[in-house]
Amino acid sequence: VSAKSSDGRYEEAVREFGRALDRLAAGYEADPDKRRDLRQEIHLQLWRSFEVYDGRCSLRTWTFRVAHNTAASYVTRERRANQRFVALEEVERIAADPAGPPDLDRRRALHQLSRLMLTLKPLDRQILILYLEEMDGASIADITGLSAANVAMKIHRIKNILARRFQEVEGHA
Amino acid sequence: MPDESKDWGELWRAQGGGPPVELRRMRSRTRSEVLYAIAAALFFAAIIAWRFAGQYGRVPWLGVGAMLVWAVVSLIWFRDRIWRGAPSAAPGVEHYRRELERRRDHLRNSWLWHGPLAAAILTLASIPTVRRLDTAVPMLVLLAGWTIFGTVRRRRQAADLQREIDELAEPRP
Repeated sequence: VSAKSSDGRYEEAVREFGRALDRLAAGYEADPDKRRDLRQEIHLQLWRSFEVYDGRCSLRTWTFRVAHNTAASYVTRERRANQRFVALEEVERIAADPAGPPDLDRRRALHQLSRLMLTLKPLDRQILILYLEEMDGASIADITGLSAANVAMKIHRIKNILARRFQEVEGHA
Repeated sequence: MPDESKDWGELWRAQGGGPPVELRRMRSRTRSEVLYAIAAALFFAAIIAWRFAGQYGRVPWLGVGAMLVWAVVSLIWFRDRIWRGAPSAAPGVEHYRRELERRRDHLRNSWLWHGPLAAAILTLASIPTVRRLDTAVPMLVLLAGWTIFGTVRRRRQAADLQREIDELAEPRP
């Protein structure tokens, strides 16, 4: 892959998935300044990665793998000593966040979703983000390396969690 | 169950993008830890050489020499953590496992990048005490407490990471 075509690939990836990459960064870092740094890191790594892109997987799979891997590395580095991430299974078991009543205001609902996301283990977070980006189970399995059955089970849990929160939102409206 | 989770997907995807990305290199925490430890030890070594070498003969020079050897060994040993590696397009679960293992090994090897700093402080503490040992006791006690606290904390973190690695190996029911 020539240098020129790797630049072209990067531009194509940003054109097609740039906004999704911005949202991905938001799913891994809440602080706006740090999020900007993470976005830059993701773009830098993505640009570098296309030097070795061999076309064995789709541009989308490659882009999201590199982006999520960069973000997962970031989370591993930056996690504080006592910071503990939870699995989807735990979120599904526990009751909704009692911190305050959810409402239908989109900004607040998005904040609630982001807060949930930031507590998840990076791999579960990855699946939730990809699911919210409307990817199917096979694509998510391809990007994460988990089995299709495992991904299907986790998507089922995500749907349960989100549906339950949605019902709570309606109940409070 | 109706798929209310789609509403969350729409909400997620409606988020605005960020400002344009400038490609620049970011520093990692792991890299900073190693480099700061090396810099701090060299700083102490420089103080020893500047302040005491003339007065106390060979011992300070031996300390400075040991510091320099250790700095070179650390730079070689931790080279993959100090300088940025190639971007990873591996499936998410593989990459995340590798990252956790790397961070765990880093914490387990902390004696290598923290030990010489402690040794430098010890050397500094012991030089003026050839005649008066009692003056060094508070500093030695502080150093011992700091070393024990740091070691226990890092071992605990490494154990947490090991648990997370084990969980990745077994698909959760």
